[in-house]
Amino acid sequence: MPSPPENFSLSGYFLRVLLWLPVFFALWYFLSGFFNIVPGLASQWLANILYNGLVVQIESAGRHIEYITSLKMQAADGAGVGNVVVTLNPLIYSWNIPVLLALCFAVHDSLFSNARVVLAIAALFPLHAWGLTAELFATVLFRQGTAVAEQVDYSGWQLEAVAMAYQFGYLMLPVIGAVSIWFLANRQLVEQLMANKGR
Amino acid sequence: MLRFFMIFLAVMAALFTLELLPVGQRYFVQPLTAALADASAFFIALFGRELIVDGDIIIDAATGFAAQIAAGCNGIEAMILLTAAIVAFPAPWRYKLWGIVLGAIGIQALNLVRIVSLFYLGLWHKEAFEWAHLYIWQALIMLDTLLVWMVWIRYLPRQPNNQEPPADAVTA
Repeated sequence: MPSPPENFSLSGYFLRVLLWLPVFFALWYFLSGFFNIVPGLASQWLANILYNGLVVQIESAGRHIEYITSLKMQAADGAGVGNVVVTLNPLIYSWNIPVLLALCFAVHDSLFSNARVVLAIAALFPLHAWGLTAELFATVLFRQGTAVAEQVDYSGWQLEAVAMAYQFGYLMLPVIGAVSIWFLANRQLVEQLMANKGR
Repeated sequence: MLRFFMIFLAVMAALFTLELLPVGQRYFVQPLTAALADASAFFIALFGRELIVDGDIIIDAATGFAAQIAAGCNGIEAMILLTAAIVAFPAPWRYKLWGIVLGAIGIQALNLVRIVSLFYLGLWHKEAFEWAHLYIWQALIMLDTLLVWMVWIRYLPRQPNNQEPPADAVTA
């Protein structure tokens, strides 16, 4: 196993992270349709586990994902009834991809591994799926009106759980996920930092 | 490592729940956010804008552009993460408390830069504002939190080898 360099420079490391960051932000933005595929499908699967038959189909709409639900809604002009379609922006959960890539690419060559980077990014997908699923439920339960919310037979603690899951998925999980995965994927670097404690 | 993660997740979950509870909102989140709005308005006004501050909302008097410092923009989640990471890391409590206090100041200092820059960006270009607000500044605040934590570790006192505590925190 390659050994890490003796003197780890924290400022040098973060400088390299900041230099990589715009590169990976650009890459992530232009490949966002690709990065959305797995979390989108996983969120459809998870939503249907939590509420059987909720999502009929998902479609890509530019950088957004459209969830066509089985819930019904009166058309605005009152002319008919259609399926409720929820459009979500997955990028508000997946911005941690470029950050994690920058953190991984900024390490010393001896600590870098392509396989580790791929696994680290793949490990983020379930967390993105969490965020999307929670926002989907929060949208149909709290933002589409009572006529739609009543079709999902949730009440009491279930509504609280959805609100909590949404807040957690949006506010905390993108950061916790990226940091935790970086921590696990770069244990040698963290160990080195800890070994240099007090210097 | 396992011990570190267990304590980190437990502290983080407890503080996040506290943040969402009415008592946490009333006595911590709302006062801090209002203070942040006042401080941000002070710095924005230094550059010549006339502002109206209403709680956590900053309004530009000339254009009517308004920015609300909502959850996720007040830096509290970053402070929670930092606190959890510091508490979970094996170190003397005196150093943990200093780390939390100085780290929170470091996070809020950058957060002030975020709010001021976003306000001007919002006045200038809506799309640039959205991009910076939703993605760029989220990333920078996250990196700031990580940096503060790593700097704190660096400033911890060195201990004799037989008392080196992080061994189980990183290699178990």
